[in-house]
Amino acid sequence: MIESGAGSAGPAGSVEPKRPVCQPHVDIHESETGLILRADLPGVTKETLELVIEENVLKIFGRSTVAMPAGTLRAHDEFRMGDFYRSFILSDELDTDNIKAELENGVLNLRLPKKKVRPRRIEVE
Amino acid sequence: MKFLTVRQSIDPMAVLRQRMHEHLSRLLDSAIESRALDQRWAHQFPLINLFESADAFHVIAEVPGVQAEDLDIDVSEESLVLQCRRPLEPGASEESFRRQERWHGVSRRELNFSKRVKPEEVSADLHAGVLSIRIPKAEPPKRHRVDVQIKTKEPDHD
Repeated sequence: MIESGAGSAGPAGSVEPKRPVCQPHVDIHESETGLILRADLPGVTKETLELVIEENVLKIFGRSTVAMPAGTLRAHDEFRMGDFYRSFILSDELDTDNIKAELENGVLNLRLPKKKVRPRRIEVE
Repeated sequence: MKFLTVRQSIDPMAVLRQRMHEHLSRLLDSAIESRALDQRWAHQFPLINLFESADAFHVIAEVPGVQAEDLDIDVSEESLVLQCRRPLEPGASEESFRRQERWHGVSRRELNFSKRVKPEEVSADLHAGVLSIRIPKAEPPKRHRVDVQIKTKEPDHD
């Protein structure tokens, strides 16, 4: 799996202007059966997460539900309160029809199984 | 005529530079940014934003994947200490990583408040990996008006 270029962010029209779009931190593990991708998406819920596979590109777009508390002023800022976007190019050996996704406590857990390679006999005519 | 001289004085390179600048800022507007606002915070966990209202401080900390029992909030009259633990997921080993960007370990962050707070009235909420803490400010110490009698010392009569 290769990270694809930063390109345009998220599905068209779903990003409000001036709302920052941030790159989530991602871990990728490989096992014999496939890959596990974990992404930190704090503030993103099932309803605000969009996962798209287009051709061989996996796009992760998460809208953060965190907002500045009403009636307050900023006193100390360390992070951008915006949404998340990242895309990856999937290799051909992955079975994109059987990807499983879970979102728990703001962490996305994606299981990308490898295609089962069955030997095929080719009849000689 | 003056208008013409002004026009002639425009440097074509400056116009080009301006156009390039506009184009670049448009590109940067849609660019994907890092979550941390500053390099100083790039390797910190959790990242914390602090807000202030008339009667309270509001802390928002991003703690994705951290369980409530792995969070420890300690508030004194002047500061907040946030300790958290995020262990490596079971089954993950150093050699199985193809990419490792997420933070794992034990951390301790401290924030100082600009005004005194009431530690006994702190409330916290953990939702979707975001910790929100509300810390009410202490009332400013009341000024008591006391009439102070000033005694003048009588000269000693020996």
